[in-house]
Amino acid sequence: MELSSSLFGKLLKRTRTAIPTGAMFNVGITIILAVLLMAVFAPLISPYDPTRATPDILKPPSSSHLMGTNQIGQDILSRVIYGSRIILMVVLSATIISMAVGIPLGIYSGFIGGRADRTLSMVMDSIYAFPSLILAIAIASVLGPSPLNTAISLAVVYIPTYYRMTRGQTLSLREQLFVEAARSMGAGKLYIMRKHILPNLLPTVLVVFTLSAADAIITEAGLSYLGLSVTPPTPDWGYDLRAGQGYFTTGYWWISFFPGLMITLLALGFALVGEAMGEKISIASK
Amino acid sequence: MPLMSVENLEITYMALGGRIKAVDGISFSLEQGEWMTVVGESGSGKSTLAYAIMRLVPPPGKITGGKIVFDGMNLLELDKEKLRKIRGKEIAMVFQDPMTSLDPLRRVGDQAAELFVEHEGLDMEEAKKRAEEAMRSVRLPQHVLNSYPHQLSGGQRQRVMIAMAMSLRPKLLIADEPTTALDVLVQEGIMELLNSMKEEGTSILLITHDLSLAANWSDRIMVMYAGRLAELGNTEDLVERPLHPYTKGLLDSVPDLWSDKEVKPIEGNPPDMRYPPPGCRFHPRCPMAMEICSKKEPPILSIDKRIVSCWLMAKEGGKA
Amino acid sequence: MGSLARYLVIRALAIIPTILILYTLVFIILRILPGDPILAVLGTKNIPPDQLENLRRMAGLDKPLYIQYFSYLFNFLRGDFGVTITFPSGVPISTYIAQRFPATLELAICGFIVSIVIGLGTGALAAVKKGTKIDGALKLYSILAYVTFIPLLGMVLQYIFGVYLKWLPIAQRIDPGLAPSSVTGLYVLDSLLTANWAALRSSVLHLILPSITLGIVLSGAYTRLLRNNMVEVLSSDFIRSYYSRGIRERKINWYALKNAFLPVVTYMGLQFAILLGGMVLTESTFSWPGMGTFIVERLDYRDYTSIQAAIIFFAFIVGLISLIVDAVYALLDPRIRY
Repeated sequence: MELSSSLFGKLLKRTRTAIPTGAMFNVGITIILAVLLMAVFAPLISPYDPTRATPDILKPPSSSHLMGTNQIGQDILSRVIYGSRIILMVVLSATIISMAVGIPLGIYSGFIGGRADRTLSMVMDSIYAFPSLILAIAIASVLGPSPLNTAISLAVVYIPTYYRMTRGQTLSLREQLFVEAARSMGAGKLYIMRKHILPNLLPTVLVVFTLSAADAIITEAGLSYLGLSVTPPTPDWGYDLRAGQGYFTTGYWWISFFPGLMITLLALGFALVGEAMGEKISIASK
Repeated sequence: MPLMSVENLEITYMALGGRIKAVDGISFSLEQGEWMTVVGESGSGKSTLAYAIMRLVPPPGKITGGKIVFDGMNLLELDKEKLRKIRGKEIAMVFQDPMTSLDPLRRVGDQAAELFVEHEGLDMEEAKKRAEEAMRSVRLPQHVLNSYPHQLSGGQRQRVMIAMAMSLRPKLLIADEPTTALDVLVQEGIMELLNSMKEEGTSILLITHDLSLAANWSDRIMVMYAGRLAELGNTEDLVERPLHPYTKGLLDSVPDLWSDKEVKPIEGNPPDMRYPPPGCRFHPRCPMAMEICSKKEPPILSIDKRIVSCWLMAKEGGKA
Repeated sequence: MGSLARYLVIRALAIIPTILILYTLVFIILRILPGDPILAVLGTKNIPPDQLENLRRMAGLDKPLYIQYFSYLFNFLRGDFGVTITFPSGVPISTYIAQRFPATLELAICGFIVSIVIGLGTGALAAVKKGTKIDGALKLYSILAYVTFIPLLGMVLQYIFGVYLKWLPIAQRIDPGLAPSSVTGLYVLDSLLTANWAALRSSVLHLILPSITLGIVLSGAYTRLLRNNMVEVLSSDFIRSYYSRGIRERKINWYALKNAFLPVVTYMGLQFAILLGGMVLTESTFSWPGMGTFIVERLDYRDYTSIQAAIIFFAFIVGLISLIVDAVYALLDPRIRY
């Protein structure tokens, strides 16, 4: 199957919709900022120590425990607040690594072409076609469970996303007039890549960043749900959801529900911002 | 009574930059068995006019005024189902680009046979037979029916389109630039097919930018400019004695039509339809423009069997 | 049809590098990156050396790397996936996979069907209602579906339909003792083949919630993709030409759907890979005894060879799926067939 053209780009270009772009962006950015603030000020705003077990077990949401307590009496709200730290840290650091590897490789591949490009594309496309969660499980299983290792496996999984997007964009930029002009004036390849290609990639990089961050959040939560990220008693959304799962069906829904909701909400925030920016770009390029 | 009469038709596009009147107050009538050709530059509204008769003006376009009376019915007042029954059976249409006018995923035969199933209630077997007949009538080999569109040439595809358009013996055939996408040799054959339909009593409304094509085949010609009627008349009259300066300009820009006269294209470009010029829309390009032309819209005048919309004629005593 | 066969052979050959790359990649990750995988998975250093050596031999780690690479691949292609190293040790992994893969396949197919049905339905509706509130709502649906965390949705559905309404079972593939005699390993198919109606009923009921969970989450991408394709198709020349021939609108919409569906097929291979990833979470949530839970269980037992075999098995499945997708595409699009 032809995987080299960015599907993503195609999706973005054709989308014109009934939902105002501005509203999507505002809702999305509000969610992201709220979670970010939550993570930064966790010690200030969380009502209890998230790791301390108390005799108040399995208490439903009330005024003293807004999201209730879990089976060992920890305050869910405090765990949700602290839990934002791990997921944000893992996803953001993974993304930075993916970008740092994927983008230069993509520019190189798209600009230089030739055999290196073909080989690299084939490898990246193969990884891209592989189920990302399973790949992440493979890596995390060898490295052992820890947030750092989760970040490394996520980074590997998302390198092809950035590579493919960058390569595709570079290919089209390469043909454009200003690059031609720079080349005819004798500019070196490295200079052109840095001065002409990289800056023009930025808008798309932003869109891909937000959309793949949404995806990475789900994958990170999946890994920690499967027990491949943190070890107790560290508060973590995916892990906490798993820990409360057995209680969910017996009526203690709040233990798992709130961490699960946060995972989806945070992913939604990034997805909405990505959608909105994608639409803006596609309109601007028309 | 004419087969079709169009009265004061107005079609508006609601575009981002405002409203565009693509067709602005066009009236004409078409007799049974008559071939009329609408000539104009691109953007003159001639194709929009054709789509309007089919009630297929693509959004954001809308018919905003007037009447189209066909066979005693106002087409603009029909509901979907009545309209569907007329399309293909009473009025058929052939489009500009045969390459994209057929469904790429279905065999030509299935697409052709469908017509008889939908309009005559035939079963598939009967319908297939009729489709075979239809292909024979446009001199296409039978294997075409089992082919997919991509296996046929452009000329063959247009013949398929015409075969489908002819097959239910419609009273009116609208052909929107049917040969523009094809080469000249194929063009002649397609025109002959249209002519044979005409001889069997079908009225033809041909849309083209090619005045010489119009002059060769049609009974009457209507010239449109920027959404308005410039001139309408019998082919011979109009070609030999054009009344409107735009018609004259068009004739002068056609090489080698009847004589060896010098070829001169009309100067300037058609107007930006978002900001049409006041008065007569042709006046900025008209070599004979007078003061009044830029101020007041010219009246639509009937002179003998001609209709013309020009201040020059008004001065010469035409009746509004 | 001769050219179709040739096309498929060419595509099949083109899949081989993809599978090899994936195999190599997994091999690199599992064998080369972190030093000693046995130590890494055991996570402790207090193992007697002779026992460690024994484990290394069982996992084939005592030979040079390049021999490991080829012999593993060769054995794999023969259906020999090695043996488990822990709890219990020495069991051929192929027996596990023979048990677990049909369960995964059955759920994957059902989830896939659900996602296609929802995706095509909502996508076509959004396209026909382009620009209306329905279109907007469906766009929101597609984003929400995409970001929904599978275990969360699964648990909510389990609670509503299993615990509160008591309509549907919430775990396992079938009620205990009802498993049909194995022909294909797909319970629905097996119970049909052996006319075992109790097993059919039970296995279908067990499939509903996990399929819907998986299907909803995956449908979002189809909703979006189909809507955009169909909007484009609906404004194309041949659709207008159908209208001009007085074809019924329902038929025209159907033809438009077929045309809009075609590009979706090419996307299905990728989507199926995403589905396999989602399978792990779905199986985990619904205690579904498939490949996903197999990997998770073996992770608990730190059974390194099983994890390796399962993941390489997935690599082959991914390659196979993209071949199937190519074949389906070729069958649907006459422009490729002839």
